[in-house]
Amino acid sequence: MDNLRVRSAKRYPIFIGLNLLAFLILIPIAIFIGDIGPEIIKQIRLPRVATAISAGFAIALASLLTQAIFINPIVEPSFLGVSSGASLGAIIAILLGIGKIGDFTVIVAAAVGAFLTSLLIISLTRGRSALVLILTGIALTAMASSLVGGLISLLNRNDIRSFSFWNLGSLALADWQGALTITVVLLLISPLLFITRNKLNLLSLGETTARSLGINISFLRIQIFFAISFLVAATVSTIGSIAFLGLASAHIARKFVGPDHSKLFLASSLLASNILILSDTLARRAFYPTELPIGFLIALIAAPVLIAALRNQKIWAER
Amino acid sequence: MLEIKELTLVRNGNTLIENFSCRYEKASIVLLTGGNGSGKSTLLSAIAGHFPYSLEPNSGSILISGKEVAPLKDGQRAKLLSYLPQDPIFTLAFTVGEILTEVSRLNTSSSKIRSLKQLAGELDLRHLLDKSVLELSGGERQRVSIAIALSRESLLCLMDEPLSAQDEEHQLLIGRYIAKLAASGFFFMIATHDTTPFHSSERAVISL
Repeated sequence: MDNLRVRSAKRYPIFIGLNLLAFLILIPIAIFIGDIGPEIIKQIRLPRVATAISAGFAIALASLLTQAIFINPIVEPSFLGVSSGASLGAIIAILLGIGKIGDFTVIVAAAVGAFLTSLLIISLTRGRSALVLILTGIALTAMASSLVGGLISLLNRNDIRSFSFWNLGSLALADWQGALTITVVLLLISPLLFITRNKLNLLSLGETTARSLGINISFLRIQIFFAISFLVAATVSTIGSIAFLGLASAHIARKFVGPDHSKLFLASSLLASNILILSDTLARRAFYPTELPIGFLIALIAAPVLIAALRNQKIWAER
Repeated sequence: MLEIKELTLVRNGNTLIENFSCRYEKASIVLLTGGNGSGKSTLLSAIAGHFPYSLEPNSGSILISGKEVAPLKDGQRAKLLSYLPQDPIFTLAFTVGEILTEVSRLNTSSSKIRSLKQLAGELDLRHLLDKSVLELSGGERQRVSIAIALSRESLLCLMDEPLSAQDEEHQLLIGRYIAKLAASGFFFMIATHDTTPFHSSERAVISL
């Protein structure tokens, strides 16, 4: 096999290096900012930063996998109803008394909600245009989050958290258990990322060409939906749903390191973690002692990236 | 090599192909001609396993090297044939070189990989290797798709309008390359409006 790759190979290590440098600066700031004692650092700040790092990875990976499997570089789980489906699954499980927030059973219920929503949206939009996919996603998101909002306001129970948590996300209740859960999910799905990276790259040529090259799309789709579902379930049931972050980091990372998933997975994950740590610190400190919902800040930073991405897209919209 | 028996294909209520049979034993170029909507693309898509010819209201049988196509999995089918769809899509900004390398890395089928450098030369893609596929012209993008379809040495290659976006010079270039491959033992079935670029002593034309 001869290799015809010609993209500058230096951009990837530079991008990774810059992100690691940002980690070195942002993490100490996030941990030590303000006048606080060692107990707060240990009990609150450290688990909060650990959660931000692991959630950043999970959100970035879920978005990259969603973009690859739906063959559309401007979607993410929260646009397609998948995140809302996970929230709904988690809330139903809590209401049925199967578990409480953070329990393994609730995460599985959230994953089931995300998986079923993924199957629903692919069966409704397969072979249709990018526009149909996105509009159907908006409709499914609206339906699932209406059910979430309806259940929360009708039942008025403290243990299912607020509508704001499920829709805008918050790291205020982050603990070691949440960070650990997300990390375990990341470790479990990383072999799958390694195995499927080449197929996900080729899926950008469309379903017909990918199948003609011998890729079993149905099996790949189930594997990837499974991974997306657990990534979304673990983040949504730990820090709620944070929109735009995965999409924006995927887009920026792609600009720097190219569209190859074997580079993109790490590049986009590191970037998303950095944005999450920075946004969480700003959310806590900007209007201290009032804490902003982190989803507001992320959307403010990341939504313009979507607008920029839309201006530069050429081909995908033609489908 | 390729045998089609009493094939009937119905799309959106219209019978496009009715009781069609053919049989080819050795390498050649078979050109499918016919007006728009005559069923060329549907026939190729059925042979490629993308159109469900074995399900009602369709009927008939398609055999490649004695194997029925419909029940084959994508991986098994890719060992027997390659397929260039009519409207290939590109959604990510891979360079031409990168995407061809990715194709050659895929290990779903055991068929031999053609030399990418040679393929890029034959299809006049050498000067485009470091260009993003999203920045190419329609004709250049079509030649990348042809290179992808030809990247494996599968016995049977199905091509849907491979020259539709090519200028005369590139039509002849691609036609000559396909004739060369056909002469060395490969079988091509090509839907086309223009048969002139494909010169081969083993050429057959089917009008649909």
